[in-house]
Amino acid sequence: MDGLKKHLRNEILRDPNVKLLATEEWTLPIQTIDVEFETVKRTKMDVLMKMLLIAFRTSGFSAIEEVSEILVVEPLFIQDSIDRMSRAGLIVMNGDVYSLTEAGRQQLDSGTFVESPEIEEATVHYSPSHELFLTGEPGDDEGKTYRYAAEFRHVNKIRESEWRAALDQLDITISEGDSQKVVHAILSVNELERVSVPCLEFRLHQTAEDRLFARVWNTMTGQWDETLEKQIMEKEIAEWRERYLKD
Amino acid sequence: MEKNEVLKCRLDMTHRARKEIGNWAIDENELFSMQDNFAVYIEKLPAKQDNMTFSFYFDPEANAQLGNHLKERVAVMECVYKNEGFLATSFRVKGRKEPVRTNRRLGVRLKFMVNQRTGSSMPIDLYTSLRELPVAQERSEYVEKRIKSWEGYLRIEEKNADVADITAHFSHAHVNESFSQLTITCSGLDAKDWGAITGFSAKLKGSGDDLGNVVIVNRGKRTVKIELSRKYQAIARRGSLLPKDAREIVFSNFAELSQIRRLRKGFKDLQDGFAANPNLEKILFEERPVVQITNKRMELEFHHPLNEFQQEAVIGAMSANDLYVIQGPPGTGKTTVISELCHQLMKAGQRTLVASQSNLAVDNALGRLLSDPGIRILRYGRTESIEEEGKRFIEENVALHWRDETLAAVNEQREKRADREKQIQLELEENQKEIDRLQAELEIVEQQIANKLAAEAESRELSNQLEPLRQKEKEIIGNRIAVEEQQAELSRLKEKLSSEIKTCEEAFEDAKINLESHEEMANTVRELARQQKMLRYFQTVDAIDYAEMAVRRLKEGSGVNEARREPLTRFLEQLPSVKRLQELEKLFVAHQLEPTLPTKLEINALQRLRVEIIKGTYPYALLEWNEVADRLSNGIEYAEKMLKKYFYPVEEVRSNYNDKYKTPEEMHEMLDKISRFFVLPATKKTLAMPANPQKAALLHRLADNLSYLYGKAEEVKRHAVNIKASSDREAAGRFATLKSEIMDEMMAELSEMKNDEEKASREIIEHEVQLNGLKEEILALTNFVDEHIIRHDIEQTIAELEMVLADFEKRKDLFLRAEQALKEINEKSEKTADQLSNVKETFAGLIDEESELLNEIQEHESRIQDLQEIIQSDPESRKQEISEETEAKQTITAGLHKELGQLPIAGALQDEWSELLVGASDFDLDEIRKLYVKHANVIGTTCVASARRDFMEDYPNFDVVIIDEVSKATPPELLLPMLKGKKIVLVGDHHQLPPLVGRETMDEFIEEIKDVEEKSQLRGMLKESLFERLFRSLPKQNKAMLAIQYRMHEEIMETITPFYVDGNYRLQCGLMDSDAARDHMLSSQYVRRDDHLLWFDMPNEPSYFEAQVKGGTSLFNEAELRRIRELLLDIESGTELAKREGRMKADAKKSVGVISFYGEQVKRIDRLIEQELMPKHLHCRTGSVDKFQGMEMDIIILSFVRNHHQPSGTIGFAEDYRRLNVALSRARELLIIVGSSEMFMNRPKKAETKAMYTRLVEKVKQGGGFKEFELAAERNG
Repeated sequence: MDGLKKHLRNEILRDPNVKLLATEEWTLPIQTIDVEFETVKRTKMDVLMKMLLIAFRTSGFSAIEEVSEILVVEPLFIQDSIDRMSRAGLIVMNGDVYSLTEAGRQQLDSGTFVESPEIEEATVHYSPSHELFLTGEPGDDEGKTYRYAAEFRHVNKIRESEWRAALDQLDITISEGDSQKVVHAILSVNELERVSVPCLEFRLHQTAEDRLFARVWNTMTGQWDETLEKQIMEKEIAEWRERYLKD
Repeated sequence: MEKNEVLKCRLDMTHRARKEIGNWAIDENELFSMQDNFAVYIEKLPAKQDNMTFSFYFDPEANAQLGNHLKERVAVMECVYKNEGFLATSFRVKGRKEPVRTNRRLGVRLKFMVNQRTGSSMPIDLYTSLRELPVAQERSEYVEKRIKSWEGYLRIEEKNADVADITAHFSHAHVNESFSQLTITCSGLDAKDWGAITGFSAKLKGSGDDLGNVVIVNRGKRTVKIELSRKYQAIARRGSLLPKDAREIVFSNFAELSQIRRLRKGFKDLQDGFAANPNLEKILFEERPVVQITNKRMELEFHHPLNEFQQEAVIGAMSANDLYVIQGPPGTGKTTVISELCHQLMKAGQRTLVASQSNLAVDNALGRLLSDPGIRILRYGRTESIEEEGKRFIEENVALHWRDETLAAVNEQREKRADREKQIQLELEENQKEIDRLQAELEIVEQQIANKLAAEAESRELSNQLEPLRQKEKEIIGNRIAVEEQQAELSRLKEKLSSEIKTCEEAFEDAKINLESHEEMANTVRELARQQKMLRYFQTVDAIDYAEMAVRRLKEGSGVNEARREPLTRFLEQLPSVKRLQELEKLFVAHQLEPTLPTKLEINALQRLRVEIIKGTYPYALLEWNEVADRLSNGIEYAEKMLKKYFYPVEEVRSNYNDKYKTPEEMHEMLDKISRFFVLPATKKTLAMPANPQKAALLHRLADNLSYLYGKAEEVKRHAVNIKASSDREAAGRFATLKSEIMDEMMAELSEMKNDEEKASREIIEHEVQLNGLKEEILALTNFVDEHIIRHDIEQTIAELEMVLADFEKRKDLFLRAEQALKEINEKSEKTADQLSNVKETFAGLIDEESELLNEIQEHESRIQDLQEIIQSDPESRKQEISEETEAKQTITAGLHKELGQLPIAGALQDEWSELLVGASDFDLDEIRKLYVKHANVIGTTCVASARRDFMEDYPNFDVVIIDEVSKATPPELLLPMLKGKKIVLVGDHHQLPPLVGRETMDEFIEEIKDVEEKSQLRGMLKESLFERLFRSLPKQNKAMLAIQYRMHEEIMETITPFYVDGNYRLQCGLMDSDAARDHMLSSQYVRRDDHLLWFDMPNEPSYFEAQVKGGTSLFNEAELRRIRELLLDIESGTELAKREGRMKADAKKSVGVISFYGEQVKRIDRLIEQELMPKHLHCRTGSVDKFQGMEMDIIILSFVRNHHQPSGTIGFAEDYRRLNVALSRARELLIIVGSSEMFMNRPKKAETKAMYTRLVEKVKQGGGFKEFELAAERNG
């Protein structure tokens, strides 16, 4: 820790106009959560095309506008896809409705599942102070807690789109050749523990322009944490000016 | 000419061409038989010896065999038009990149008839097209010069930018507090390099990626500041910006250079004919833009609510052909217009390019298009430089954006689905109810229609009856009025008569005569007769006297006559014997008679005549002759004497007679001549001489004359004797006449006397008869008279009595007349009374009749009115409505039923779709992206990026190119997107800041020009604003001005209105109620609620002066900074208060822009806000005025900075009205100016600058927003 601190300090002070006023060490609360989810593998297939095949299999549509209304997709796009599928012989106009050809049915089947779904697990880290999932290895330290730390968030309150975004960061979706693995559904979430990630705070003065600023190194993400720096500066800069630069 | 029609034409060869073809084929026959026909692009060259000359470009793509043969290179054959065919003069093969299809060339398919002297002639269509084809290299001198000026400018820029990469060692690398800048200390750079590298990109040696661009160099400290790209900012945050071994950095100007090359290529493309609109160079660079004017105006249905000016602009831009220019002052809704234009173009199925000079402006314009569902926007450019607003439209994001939007929409529908089912049921029920209701209403309406028909019939019938009734009513009223008038007339007459009767009765009473009067009158008559008799007596007496006297007088008269007759008779007896005049006189005397006056005069005349005759003075002729005779005798005497003197024998001289000289006058003349001859000196001289023949001759002549005189003397004597004799005879005649006259006279007198006597005796007899009668009468009358009666009394009495009688007669007559009048008038009055009573009866009858009729009419009318209500009701249209409504409801019901049927299916599909969208993989999104890009209809990019090769390939041209903020781009920048548009729409405001044109480059270029005039001309061309020139010179069909601004409070707007006054054009405020719409809600120490325009004045004194930062050029002003600090604090607390008092939402923030003309001041304001104030309720943004162009804020604080006593009086950047205009027009609600009014109003040298600022100060003062410094300080203290 001291080595890191020294290294960071040197880096900051390489600018001769910057003076170090003070350093602080504290910890950032992080919720470690286990996510259980289902993945599927399927043939790569344009999502709109697939949807249209499903629609035409399910019900007889005669007008592009009807489909357009249900799917909330511009008629122009639908027309374009229908044209392509017609050319590829996936659909035909049967009477006055579209219907799938044999080729179309096969295509649709392979586009839905290649293998049966698999259940997977992943561990993600949520920072209430950032209102974001962070990536990195959270260390755990005793130390005092971040003075502006936000309340822990109940996992049930986290939305599906947030879970998916968290999983997206982990590169779970992969594609191999013609097929691809995608997250199909979030099955369950389980908060494992709450840890305290050490952070290093530097209070600095840029003398040339007489600007005070903060630098916070987040050991979990391994970078200068802009969110935390902003929170601190917003609340304390005026006070720092009083405290460190009064004379 | 059909597009793919093959045209036959002959082709002959010159030796040279044949030889050149030989390099590529065996001969021309082989070459041109390679394909049946060739796709050729024909360019016209200047004519050679009056023959049309062309270059044929063979397209390697369209001519597969030839292309293959020539390895995709371009064959160019030069030809001359000759003998209805072509003669090839040369044949060359150019590189693969040689442009072929340009807008200056005619593309045709030709089948060459090689070396066939005879045969088909040139197709007429081809010939016509060739004739009309313009010579490609030709362009007007003006266009030439303009293009040349820009080319020259860019050439210099390129030359300057073409710098080799510079490598340097570096150390002491550190990033600034916001990770946006990297500062390094460099070694190994020479002086030239230090001057050059600003603006260069910087990368680590060995890396392929630029860290960013050099922004500041400090040669003294050997430091270089690099503005990091976003990617490297993020890397810097991770602390891994620079690898440990990184020691060398490379500065490169490649980006700049390639940009300049792109600009140059734009001009080359223009000249090579690659503009989508072949007319482009004429539009842009001709002195007056050559555009095709259209008077057609499209009828449009607008998607956005637009004001009249905006509508005009959209209609104009849609209708225009080549170019349309829109001048839009700040806040006038330029972006709305662009948005609407994109919508209209989308509807028309056209693809639009939205370009602008800066990324920010492009993103701004695109951001507002979002709400339009048919528009698919694609933002093209480096992801790096695109603002948040535009990010979702970049290619890599469009699919994601589309996915998110679609997902949100689908989920919204899903959420509503359950509700939807219930809702549909409800709606169905409602619909059915409504249909039933409509059905019921329909029945009623049909009954109404039947009623209406009946009512119409009845109404018609009644109306028909009404007409005669009305007619009759009119007649009766007419009669009644006549009778009324008659009645009135009669009453008046009656009244008049009764008053007349009264008058007559009075008169009658007055004129009445009683009995006594009659008796009295009889007495009077008698008395009068008696009196008259008495008078008669006296009159008779008088008459007797008179008669007696007359008799007496007559008798006396006859006695006198007797006495006179006696002498007359005797005179007459003696007269005949009187012979002489004297005897006659004696006779008169003897008889005591007086001759009458004529007689007396004649006697006197005769006496005088006698005397004159005796004296010879009578008559005058005799007198004349006597004078002649005298002269003759004198002359004779003289001549005789003279002759005698010279002893001439006078006696021998005989008289000589001559016919000459007959009258006395002639004789006098003759005598004059003779006497003159005698007295002539010559005569005298000759005479004085002794005798000689001359003298003898003279004497002889004298003698002749004498003889002559003798003759004449005798003649004269004869005349005198004759005259005397005739005079005597005359006198004797006259005497005889006199005598007979006297005789006649006397005889007449005698006979008169005799007549008188006879007459007198007759009268005497008459008088005597009368006298006898009178005497008898008087005897009868004597009884009435006695001696006491006097004639005079009687005469008087008679006169009196006659008067009494006359008076009585008069009275009697009057009485009779009065009696008659009374009688007449009484009769008349009775008649009138009769008439009146008749008329009254008639009148009463008419009144009755009329009222009866009126009742009848009223009944009819009220019935008709009742019916009219029924008729006017419109049950038919209601019926129509009902059936329409019913139909509509049924359609809805059918639709709802269908929806209800499909609802489970639709629901299932939407669930599926939502899931699919959520799980969309990169692959899926990529497909969506392709679809989107394919159908993108609005593409946004910066001017310069539009010329990037990949973009050129993806989008070679657009139906319409819209360029926003045109006035901020240089002509070369504008040219790039313009090249791609068939139609171009320019949007800008030339009253805002112009683009930055490199001054140094310009000067360097101008330096190269030798000609002074050309120098200034080119300089002018480089300096002018293309936008302004186009706007001023285009016809009205090709431009529009937006005039209603919606941004600023009216008071703020008024500070810039003077900049926009142009003819009738005035900038107007479109806010209905500025105070309400632009209420800043603040009420603080410095700002009142109704303040919208404030000026905090700074004294023009040293302690408030500007200052220059050490080692820099930019300026700042500490005093103004202090004031800004106070103001920001005040606004912050004001906003807090507004929130506390509920005027503003708790989480709302006021946007405040603090701007200045000077970068250093901006930097200090920035620090002030970030480091010291850190406002919680404000969203502050700072920047130079130039950077703020295009932005708007709730509140703007503008710091003027300039404040000094330098003699130059300069205010630097602030002098440009366009910069001031930009600065003043950024604020929506409140504009606060901090600066020295004294400095800006009075120090500048230019009068117009002073006037501009004075006007501004006046404006602020007018609104009461001008704050004197002392006052503000006091309030502060």
